[in-house]
Amino acid sequence: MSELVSNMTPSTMTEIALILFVIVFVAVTSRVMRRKARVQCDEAAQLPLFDDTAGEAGVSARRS
Amino acid sequence: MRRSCVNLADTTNPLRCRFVAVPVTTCREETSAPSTTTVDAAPRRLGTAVAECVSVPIDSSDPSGVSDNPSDSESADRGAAGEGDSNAPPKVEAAKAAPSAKDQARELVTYDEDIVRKFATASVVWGLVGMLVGLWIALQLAFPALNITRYFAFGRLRPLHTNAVIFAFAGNAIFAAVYYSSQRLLKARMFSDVLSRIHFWGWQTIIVCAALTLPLGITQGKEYAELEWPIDLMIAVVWVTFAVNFFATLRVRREKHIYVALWFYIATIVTIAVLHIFNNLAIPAGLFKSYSIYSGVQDAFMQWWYGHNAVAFFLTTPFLGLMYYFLPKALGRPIFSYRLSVFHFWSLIFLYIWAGPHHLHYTSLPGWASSLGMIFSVMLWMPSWGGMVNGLLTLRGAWHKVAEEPVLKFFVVGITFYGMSTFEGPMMSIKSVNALSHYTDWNIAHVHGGALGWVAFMSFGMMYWLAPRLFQAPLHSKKWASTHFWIATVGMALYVVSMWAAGITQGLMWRAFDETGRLQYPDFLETSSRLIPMYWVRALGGTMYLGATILGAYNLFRTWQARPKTYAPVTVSVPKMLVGKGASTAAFWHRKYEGMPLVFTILVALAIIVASAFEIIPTFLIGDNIPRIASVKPYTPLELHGRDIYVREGCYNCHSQMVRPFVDETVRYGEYSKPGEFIYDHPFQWGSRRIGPDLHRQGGLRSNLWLYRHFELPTSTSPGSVMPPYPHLVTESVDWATIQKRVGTMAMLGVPYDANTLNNGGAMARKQAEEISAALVTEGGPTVPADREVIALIAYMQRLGTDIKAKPAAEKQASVPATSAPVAATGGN
Repeated sequence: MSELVSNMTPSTMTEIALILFVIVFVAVTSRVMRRKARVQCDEAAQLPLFDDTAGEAGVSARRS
Repeated sequence: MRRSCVNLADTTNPLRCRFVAVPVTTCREETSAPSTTTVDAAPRRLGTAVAECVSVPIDSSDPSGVSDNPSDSESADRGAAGEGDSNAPPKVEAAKAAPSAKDQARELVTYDEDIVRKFATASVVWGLVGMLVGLWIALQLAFPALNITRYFAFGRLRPLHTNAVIFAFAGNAIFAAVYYSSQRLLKARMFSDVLSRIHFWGWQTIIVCAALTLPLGITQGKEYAELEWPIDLMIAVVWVTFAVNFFATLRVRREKHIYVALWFYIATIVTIAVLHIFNNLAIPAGLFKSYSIYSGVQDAFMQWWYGHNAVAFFLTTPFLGLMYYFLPKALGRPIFSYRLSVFHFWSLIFLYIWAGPHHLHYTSLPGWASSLGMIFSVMLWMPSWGGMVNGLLTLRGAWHKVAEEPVLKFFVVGITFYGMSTFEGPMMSIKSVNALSHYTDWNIAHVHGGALGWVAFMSFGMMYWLAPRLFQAPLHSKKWASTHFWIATVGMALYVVSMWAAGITQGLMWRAFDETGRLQYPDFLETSSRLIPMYWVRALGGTMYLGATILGAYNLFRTWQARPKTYAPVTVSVPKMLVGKGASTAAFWHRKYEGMPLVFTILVALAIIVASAFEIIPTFLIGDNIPRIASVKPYTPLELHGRDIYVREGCYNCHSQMVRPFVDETVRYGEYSKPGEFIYDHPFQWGSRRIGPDLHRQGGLRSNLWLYRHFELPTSTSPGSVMPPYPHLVTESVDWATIQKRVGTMAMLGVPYDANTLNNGGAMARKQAEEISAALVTEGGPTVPADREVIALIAYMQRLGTDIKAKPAAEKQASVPATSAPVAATGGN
């Protein structure tokens, strides 16, 4: 392990980390930005408003 | 009895029907039917909390809060029988009304409000204490006579301030937020009341231990990680208690979707545990003393990996979680973009971990680590502003409410300061900017913009929103809350602007050269004396801020005073068991993972651990990062004890030990500091502020007598100095047996002491001390017994930075060079 790391320059490690991050970021963003996701997200955003009260306006906004 | 409802968007009026089955914006007259029927009038869907209506009279002359409604009287009975918070009604109870098919799938849950009250109260109390200590140390810098006794000198008091405001004030506020919001978002009472109370009392005990040990000089000498190993263990136990309670509540939740605020809480719990454990790894050398297992460059790296991520995961993520819950609650509308919160969360927790090295630019840290820290810190600006944008745009169309509601004033300005700090931080992380800002008050300005603006304002906003609900009484005075806001804002502006001015002034003075090519300000003292007027302005700003906080605390106290004799329980009707896996129709992968908190937690842990590993592993495994210098040897036993005294008195709070490779620094202080010089420094003492000059090349620069006089009364050698006097160093004696033990501990950590030192450390120390004591007399000074602490500290000072001048083959002598006259200083400090 020590040899492997020693042979890698710090810039190599940075590049690997950056690539990993970009892949994860693009994956998360693309899933989240799909049309289907929007509906679930809008519903999820309502959660704090209906945690200990239930209003009809809010109820109708939430769909199963 | 009439039951009326008011607009639920009214954030400060608790005298409303809290659990209404009516639309948010309208009210209904009471029917004769019991509340369960009223509730069932609206179609229910899985995952929705159905509220039992607890009727609260709007006539404030009736404080009992009890209605004639039979089902309401059940709650009231539970509440009355409860006799206050200690006998809370049973957690879960089957619905008493004749069960319909729908009712059979539901049960009643009562939230634990008492624990929230405890944490909120503790936060306010400790906030006052922490801010008062802050004001005291600010005044000490302008008026050094306020350094009263060794216990309340700046070096010991500053860590008390930082620990109090971070862990006591912000910490308790975080827990209040987590306990309040988690129960409601998960639709479950906290898993265990016992664990909740262990958490609360354990945390307060830790704070009290900190308040006692820090003024006594019991410290590890690492910023925001000063608390010694027994308290560190307590922190670990209490944190695990908190984690178990939280994750177990996640498991028994009645709401499948884990709302974004909870992700931030999960990230906080996981990451703080990792940071705390790894940065505080130390070998004890006694009940109240330990040495970090890391040294020098590696210790610096670990410390600032921890230090910056304490900011990230203690002062940022939980408050973002707070924002994501309490801002929608206060506004009565959802967050601007839930999707934005998804990808800003993951970006934030991954990128933040890397930012630590930006505290170490141009130090002996390897250049690649410094660059990594800089790049990722600049990238960090984006997810941080994602959070800010999400918060501020939630207000679109509702900005007029800010003028009416103090809660929203605090939240808006708080989020704005978050945006400011998360722009300023990346900017200061750029190496060329950092070359100016490092060690100056600009860092102080930056910290306090974030702490007073973001952390404290979000806490105050939350407190004002919570207080009427927790104490079930109207807020005593909205006008006072508004006054609190305005005075605190002005005070904060004075603080930050004066410290920007001080920081940039001092930074520019350090690097100024005159037309002859010499330092413009060769006397360091001139650069700190110049700042005194700005310190007075800062103290004024801090006084205003504290005064405003006192007003706020009094407002909350008066609200509490108006509380009912017995608190009405907060009970909701929730689905009996979690929604089945097939319930959601769309295959939304993120929701699927969020429905699995264990997997989610593992992914969060993976993100922060992978990020940490990429920086930490190379630091430890690549030997080239810390080139060895053959002439660098371990400290002698006496010098080691002197170093312990240096750590005890908190000298690192004002003095650095790191000469950067800049022309002005090498001219002022001497050769720049090499990584190999610090390999035996457990812990490192590079410092992060220069209220006094850098000390790394102090060795041999001054006579022993000069140093003696300087410690006894700094102004006798340095007129105008704000350094506290340390007369107790001249009167207190060294314990030679302790020295031997500490040498042994260092040897355990790998410091290569020879057999003679390991066996005769005490005697060697005494011999060296006698030589210094004799030298003092030779220099025309007083007779100081060899066993006085000041002798040990002089020994340490005279050793600093001298190893690289020594011949590698030469045996390291036990004695230090005793000079009869001051050595001509290169820069004149």
